[in-house]
Amino acid sequence: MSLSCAQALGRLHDYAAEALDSGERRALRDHLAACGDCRESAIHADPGLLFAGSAAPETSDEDVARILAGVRAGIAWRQAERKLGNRPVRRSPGKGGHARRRLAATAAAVVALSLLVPASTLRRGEPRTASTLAAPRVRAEGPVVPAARPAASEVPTSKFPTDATIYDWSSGAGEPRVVWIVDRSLDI
Amino acid sequence: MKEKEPPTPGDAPPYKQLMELVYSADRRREETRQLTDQELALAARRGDAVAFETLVVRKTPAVVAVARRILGDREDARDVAQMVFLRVWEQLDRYDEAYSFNTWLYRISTNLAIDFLRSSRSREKAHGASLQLVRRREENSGAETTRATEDGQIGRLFDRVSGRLSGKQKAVFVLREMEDRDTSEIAQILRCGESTVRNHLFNARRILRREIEKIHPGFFGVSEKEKA
Repeated sequence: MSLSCAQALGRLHDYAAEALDSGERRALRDHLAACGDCRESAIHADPGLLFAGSAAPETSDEDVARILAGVRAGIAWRQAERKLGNRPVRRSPGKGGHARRRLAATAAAVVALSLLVPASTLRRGEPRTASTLAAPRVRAEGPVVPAARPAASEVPTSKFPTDATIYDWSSGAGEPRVVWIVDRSLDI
Repeated sequence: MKEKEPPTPGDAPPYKQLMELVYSADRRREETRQLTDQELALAARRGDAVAFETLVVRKTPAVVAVARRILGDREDARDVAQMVFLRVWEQLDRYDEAYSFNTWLYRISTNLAIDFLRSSRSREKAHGASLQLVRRREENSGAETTRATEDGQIGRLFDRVSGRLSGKQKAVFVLREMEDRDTSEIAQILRCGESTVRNHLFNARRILRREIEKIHPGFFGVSEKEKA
């Protein structure tokens, strides 16, 4: 619904009184965004309209990456706390740097262990059943696997870090089975 | 004795037959980009870390924008955004899928931003901004009003004049006027009645009007002083 200038200006009072339905409100805002004269009249009537529809502050890709990295670290930290018995990790006063490094190392170790446990299970040749792997799982995609080898079609997706790629190799003739876990997020 | 036939280019090398790609985060990331916010949230609740990260990447700009407008500071907004997603991760079990994921996310974002604003650090910053506002009052003429029609400057003007709003008033104003959310949705986000939302909005407009009037007397036709 497009409005004329007279209609738009006639609705300013109702806008400020929150008396417009969402369609009317949208039409008025659209009109004000497009019509400079009406906008100028409107902002003198209602300060809210001065700020209405102003562009959102931009968030750069770098900001998003920083926030994501912070969230990952926070989650690893909290998982480490949980695995250490739900005790909040404390920093000793005056030794913040050492404590942080120690805790970061603990968190990294816990994350690495949590990722390696399923792999070590595979190396021992145990069949992967629902009880050995935590839900949920993702279905494998890739070439057809020979029938002789145990099905290796599911892995847990619940483990952080999430930059892992997992390959499973076996000759299928009683040879040792090899699993590669490539994790770009581990900084060793 | 029959000789073994030589391999042809069509034959797959043995390793291709034997090696299976079990899991690829990149491939999973690609798949999750097709999902809706709610589907991602539900997948994340089931423990899918890649789905959770896709959700973080997708929703970060919106969360930072709301936090930035409420807090008036880019760095604080980033900190709050980080806290928001940690809170989301911790409370995914409590997300009620009957409601929009955005409403739930905005609720966490505004609550944390308001808490942050209430902290002593933010109070000091707001006080500093108000002092700055008074100081600049004499320096600036009405010419700034014209310039303020530019988006960036409108944002800065809002940062300057909104220091007097309470956290709730600011959140309501940002959600209603800047994010263009319905009053009913804002009521859900802030867990209050629609009439409370309207009250906050009314008060926020009155305060903003007064603060703008302080910088630019006569901007709204009749100054507050004249009204009094």
